[in-house]
Amino acid sequence: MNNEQRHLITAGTVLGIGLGGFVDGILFHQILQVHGMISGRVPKDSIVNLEINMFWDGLFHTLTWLMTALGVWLLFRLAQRRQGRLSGRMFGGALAVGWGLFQVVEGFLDHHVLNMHHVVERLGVSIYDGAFLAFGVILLVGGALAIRPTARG
Amino acid sequence: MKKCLLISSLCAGALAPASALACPFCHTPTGVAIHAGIFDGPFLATALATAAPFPVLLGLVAGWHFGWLPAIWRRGRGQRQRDAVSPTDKKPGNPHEQ
Repeated sequence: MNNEQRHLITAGTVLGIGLGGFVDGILFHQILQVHGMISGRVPKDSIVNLEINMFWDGLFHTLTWLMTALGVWLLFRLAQRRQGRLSGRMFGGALAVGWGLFQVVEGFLDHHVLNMHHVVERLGVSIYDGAFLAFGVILLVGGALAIRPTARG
Repeated sequence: MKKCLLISSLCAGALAPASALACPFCHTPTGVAIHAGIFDGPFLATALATAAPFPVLLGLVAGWHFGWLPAIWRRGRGQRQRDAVSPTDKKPGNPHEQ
């Protein structure tokens, strides 16, 4: 694997982490509203608790935005100095690896270690937390497989 | 028409503060309760817990980028050894194949 491919994978992975974080925040926190950032500690059962969760959702989204911005910057820097064509398959694989990595690390830490929240808060630790982790592993493996063949070339 | 517009504006104005003032920095009973819920509790611990996955994620990416950690897309030793034999070496009669 050459230096350019290594930088492409890093940029794609960081961008995938940021975009994966936004999927979690937008889908679960805002559209479905099945949990908030600290709904495992402060249940969303009143306007005060709802807004407390919203504050911490904001901090979470700030960090995912920073990851996304870092990924875009890394990708832009690579595009400026590239020699040949960048592989779309490798970049897509790196995005999947980043998203999967987010699912696994965030799912394990926040849902199981720190008990910040669970995927469906009213159920506590449930099959949905397992599915969240499993989906992350699938993305990780799929992304790694997508990267691997092009790494030979 | 003007009278209708004035009444509508007053009605909208009367409703707006109730929802708009429920924020962490609003000087209303709800706003004060939200502020207290965020800042008077274990603020630093909650902030660190919220941010916790991100240093871990960055550490993993840096580990893969700089080669401190084995990348998950890296080929196994057997595959690398097979790839080390180039296609020209596999031609019949090539002495390297024996």
